[in-house]
Amino acid sequence: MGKEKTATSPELIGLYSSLLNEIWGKASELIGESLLAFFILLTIDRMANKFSILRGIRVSEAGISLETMRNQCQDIPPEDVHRAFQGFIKNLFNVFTAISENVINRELFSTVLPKLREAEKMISR
Amino acid sequence: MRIIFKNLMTLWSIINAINANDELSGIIEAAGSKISHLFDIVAFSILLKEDLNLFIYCDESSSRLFVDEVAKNTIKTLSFITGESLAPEQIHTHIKKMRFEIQRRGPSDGRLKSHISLPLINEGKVLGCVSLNSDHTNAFDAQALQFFSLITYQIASSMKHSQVFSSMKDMAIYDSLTHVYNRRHIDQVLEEEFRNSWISKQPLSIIMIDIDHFKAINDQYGHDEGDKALIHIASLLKQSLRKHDIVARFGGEEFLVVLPKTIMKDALVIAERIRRSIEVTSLSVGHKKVTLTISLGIAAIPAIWPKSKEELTKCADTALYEAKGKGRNRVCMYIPTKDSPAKGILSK
Repeated sequence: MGKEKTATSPELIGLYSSLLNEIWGKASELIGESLLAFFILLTIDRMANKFSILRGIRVSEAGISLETMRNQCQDIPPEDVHRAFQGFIKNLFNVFTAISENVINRELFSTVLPKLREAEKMISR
Repeated sequence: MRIIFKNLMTLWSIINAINANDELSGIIEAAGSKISHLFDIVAFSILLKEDLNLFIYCDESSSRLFVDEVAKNTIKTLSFITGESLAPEQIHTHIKKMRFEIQRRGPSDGRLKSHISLPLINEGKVLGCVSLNSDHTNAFDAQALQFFSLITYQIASSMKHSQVFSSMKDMAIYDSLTHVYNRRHIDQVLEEEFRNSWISKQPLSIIMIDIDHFKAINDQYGHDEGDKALIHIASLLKQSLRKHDIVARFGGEEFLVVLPKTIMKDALVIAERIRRSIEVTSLSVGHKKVTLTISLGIAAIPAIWPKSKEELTKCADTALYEAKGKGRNRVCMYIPTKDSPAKGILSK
């Protein structure tokens, strides 16, 4: 059996897109779309200086989309995409902790952790 | 099921109470006084970004230490959300103690142990933040957060409505250029003051003011500079008046001052103070420093007993024209005589 091929940036973005949509679904049930969109935009704003790729995340009260980013990320190494999303999700969780202690994070851990592990695996192949 | 229904009904009544208010103070009071019916909390806090007013509604048993921790934490939350650092000295804190329906879950050391805090957002703009605060750890669950976010949405939405309502109210009564009252509002005020004066036989004075040679400013420097002159005069008028006096832009370059419970003699002192303050204050018009002057006409009850506010205004207008005719930059009083309806008084 040969070594599995390393994930491409669009594949990683596909995984994070599914993860962020799950976060959107669960967190919006708790705090509503408008507040959630605000927190995501706040996190992007604070992280985008370090990871400019995050500016490609589109957020509105209708949901979150990484389609623009997926189309623009061909030249970005998958490791950079992974680092940017890891930083983004960590910061988003910090925002959730600041406002709701662990109420939101508790609801999200079961979804987020397996997907983050999957992303780790894809990047370390 | 019964508990959920009861909670939903309570939530509904809180949202309705908030929604029933047009004024910001009513919205805050409705939320603060009712929120403990739904949550097991020791304090509810709301911090407004615009004026940095912090309102803390807390249980009567809460200690000073707890209230201080709530204040500190609420300020920290708003700083975190806005990214702007706020010092406690900047905040105006209002504390209201009341009886909260707290279910005691064991002993407490009276410290802040648990809180959920949400921003008040409307159209992407942060208006402030709200917090539920408890002296027990992990006091809030997913349902509490859901309910609290619904209340937060309602507070933010009602706040926005109250801002719109308040700015509409302002538009209806203030002159948009000079920010003194407009003609419509001063007409209402004068009608009321005139009626009060007749009923209670109290004095009432009015001063009609016109900027001297205003047309020349507009012609020479343009309308923008003319507008600047109007703003300048309006600002000096406000500064020269007493707390209960009312000033309005009456027409183009005309202002009307209503002085309730004021006799002619005192009105003259005020009018002269206004005239002098304008005469000694220069204004940059174009690239020049210019000094404006005004002419003023006073009419007063009981020096005359007009039948209507319109008649009183007409008398002040007559005195104003007398001041203009006598060379401007002066105050004239309307004192009817047999031969002359207005007697000019040279005031400088």
